[in-house]
Amino acid sequence: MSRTAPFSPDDLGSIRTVALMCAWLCLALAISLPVLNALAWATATAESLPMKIAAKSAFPYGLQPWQRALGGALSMLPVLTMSWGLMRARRSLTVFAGGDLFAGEAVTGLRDFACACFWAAVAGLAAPTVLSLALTIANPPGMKQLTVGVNSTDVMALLTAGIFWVIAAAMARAGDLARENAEFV
Amino acid sequence: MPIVVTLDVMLAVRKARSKDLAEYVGITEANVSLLKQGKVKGVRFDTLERICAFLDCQPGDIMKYVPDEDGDAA
Repeated sequence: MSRTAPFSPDDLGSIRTVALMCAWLCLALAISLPVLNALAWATATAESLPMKIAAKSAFPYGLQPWQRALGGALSMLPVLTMSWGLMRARRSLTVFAGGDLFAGEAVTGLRDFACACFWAAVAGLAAPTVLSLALTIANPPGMKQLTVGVNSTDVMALLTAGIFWVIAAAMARAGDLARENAEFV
Repeated sequence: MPIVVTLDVMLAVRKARSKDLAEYVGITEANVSLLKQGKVKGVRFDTLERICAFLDCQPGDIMKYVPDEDGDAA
């Protein structure tokens, strides 16, 4: 059933509450994701590495410190991209929580979040390949590895990013209409 | 602008105050002022109906079309 009636005060209250909760969650994730990623790589072992990056056999002498550092640095790129996107999303959500649903700042933040999701998803698709190559480049011949793979999570992330971008573009247009409507008495 | 608002004239004829009109119509005095100056983008039919009801007039009594000198609408 389509909706054409204006939002009731109850609807706006729900939007504000959920927006505020999501804003705090975005902040928490934006800070914790890079920290957790760094910690994971600092404590990584050949056995703990996911198979999609490299098999345990690629590290006959275990995971060396330079490999941990390189892996951490390379994997930080999509993570930091996502953290930036989450902070931009937080800005949008904070504006929504203030009750202004069509503010330019909110729409821009949502678009930036969509862009961040897109690039993080692209980096996520490329990461196993880049990491497997980088971590095993120094191995003797016959022990280097190259991983290529696509999984549904990354594909869904790309699709979700596209959907967010479209929604942000629609909201930008809605904001223009709302401002024009405000000029009618 | 080709549409000229003559609301101020009708208010004077009916000896009505903008404040009372605003209250009856349900818009702010600021919007009534903008309307009198012709600085709004448009008027909703609902608003026009209430203005005409308050001032006991027709829509043509509070706005008129005055084409530009070259005859084209801006």
